[in-house]
Amino acid sequence: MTEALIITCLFYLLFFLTGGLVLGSLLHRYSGTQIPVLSCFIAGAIFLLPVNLLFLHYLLWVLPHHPPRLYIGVLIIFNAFLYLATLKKIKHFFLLLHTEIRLRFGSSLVMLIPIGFMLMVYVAILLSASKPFVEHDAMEYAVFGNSIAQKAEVVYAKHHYDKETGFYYYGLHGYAFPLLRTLECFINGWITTGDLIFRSLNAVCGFLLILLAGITGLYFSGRFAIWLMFCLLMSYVFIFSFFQVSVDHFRMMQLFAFVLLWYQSRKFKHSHSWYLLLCFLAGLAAFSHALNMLLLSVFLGIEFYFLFRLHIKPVVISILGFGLGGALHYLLETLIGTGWIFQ
Amino acid sequence: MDFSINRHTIFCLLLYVSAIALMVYFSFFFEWHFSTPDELRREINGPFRKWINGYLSLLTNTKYSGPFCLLIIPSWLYLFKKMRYEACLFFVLAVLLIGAKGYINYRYAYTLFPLMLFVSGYVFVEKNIMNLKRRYLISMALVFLHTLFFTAFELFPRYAHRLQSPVTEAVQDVFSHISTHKDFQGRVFLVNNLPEFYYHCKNKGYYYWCKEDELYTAEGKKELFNSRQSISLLKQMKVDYILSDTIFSRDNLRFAKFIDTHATAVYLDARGRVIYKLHF
Repeated sequence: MTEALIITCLFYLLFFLTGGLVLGSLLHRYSGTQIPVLSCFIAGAIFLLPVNLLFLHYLLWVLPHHPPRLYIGVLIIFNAFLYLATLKKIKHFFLLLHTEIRLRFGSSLVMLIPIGFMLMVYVAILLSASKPFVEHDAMEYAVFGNSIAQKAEVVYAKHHYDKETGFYYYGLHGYAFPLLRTLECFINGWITTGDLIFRSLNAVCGFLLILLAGITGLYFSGRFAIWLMFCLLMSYVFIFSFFQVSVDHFRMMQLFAFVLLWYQSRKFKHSHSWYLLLCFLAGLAAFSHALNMLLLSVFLGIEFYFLFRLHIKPVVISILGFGLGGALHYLLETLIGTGWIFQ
Repeated sequence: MDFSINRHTIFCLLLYVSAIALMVYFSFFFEWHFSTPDELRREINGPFRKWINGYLSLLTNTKYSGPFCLLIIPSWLYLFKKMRYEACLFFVLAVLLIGAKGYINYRYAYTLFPLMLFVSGYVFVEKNIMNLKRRYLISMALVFLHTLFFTAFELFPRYAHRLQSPVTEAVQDVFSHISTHKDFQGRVFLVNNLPEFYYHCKNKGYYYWCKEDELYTAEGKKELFNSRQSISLLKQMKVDYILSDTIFSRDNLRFAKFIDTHATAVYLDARGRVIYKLHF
């Protein structure tokens, strides 16, 4: 159990911290340094795990039936490549981040914040480990994830029926959450975490959601940040959901982060590559849940009209980013898969 | 403290208390008799609760979202006044979409909760458009009391048993029983909407959902107990046992009747999950 706790903790910290630096520095760079550094960091921290899950999805779809160590190896190389490609930007971004934290919280808190963050992740995992995994929807995702891991394949088919077990997956959502279980199954062949990574996702992302709200509130006032964090943490719906194994906080966190980034960047004029990157993040959010897909389609449709005035080039680039980021999955489901919501 | 501040404060408190009172009344004391068990479980039984906790849950489900959902419409009006039409339009369409597609589950309305909290908090607390003193403390206290109330009277009684001994429960549950008991080795199950079976057990199980009477096969969904060939279908599939939850059985009377006439309960665990042995 202790080993599983440590590995799970390291897994999340690795994704959050490297994500914050790698994707955060990219976001900061492509926004023309107009988006605050802390916002970029937290958005980056949120989105690196979904990027990896999406990449795993494409791998299992295009190159199926290979041993797990191949997929893990490719993922490691992919992350190392991302890290090396952005190394120069990371150094600069880290200095900016350090300065911003020192200015906002004082130099004495510079070290306390990362320690507090690590403690938060650890507590979330500990709480998840101490309760049984009985939630219906999450269980279906987990079984589907196990099935993908066993076959080492993602298929688009009319019916997801497993002949050996008799299980039928009728979910209409993106594969991010089942693929987290698949990834954990692959890791389990090497280091044992049981199902702790999968079952603690909701609690970990719950804390990250609060952190995101706090950091965004901070740009208005310190009191508003504390108020937001308190009201979110103490709300009944949050407490009710926090103790469940589900995809809720994972998908909400991505949707919330994307919408906040979009509104923060709305005031300035940006390059097309910024919209490509931002809509790629929207696609990642859509890949985690069908409701995100529907809400983000509505959101982007409205913004294409109000912000771009339906100019073709930014709209096409944004749609391209959205599709590559994960919205393509729903198109494939509609055309060659279950039919999605049109079945 | 001048008169206008008092008036606004009292107005807000009255609005909140009356909304809570209405919600408590409809949640605990007001029951409709023509609802399905599933609707009762989801607290959307009857037309009134279906609207309050279902279609309009983003705006009116104070139980889950707390006092702030009541501030969404005034926040829209504020955004509209500030000419943020795109944000207003998104919220309107989001409410319609969630109401139409996801009214059945509170989790769908929860999707926009952080955004909603952010916007209403920004308008009412940070911008302080109602000119309230001590607004930070009062609103935080309201949230705290609201959560305390529902945690104490609903969440805790419902989940207290899980906190007592999760390990013991895991050992004694129906899935451990299936995996360890020799009688079940190699036996085929009809699994009534319990995906845990596939997570914990190695047996084959045909996936089924009694509420809709849907049997999931390689060719898609099929009717099982509503068709006249249910027994021959089960024989053809070589099903020996049915695994279900006692609360599901009430969702389909034909399924319940079939269990009464053609099956015997052989194991029931603490969470109400039951194994029926078929005899025909």
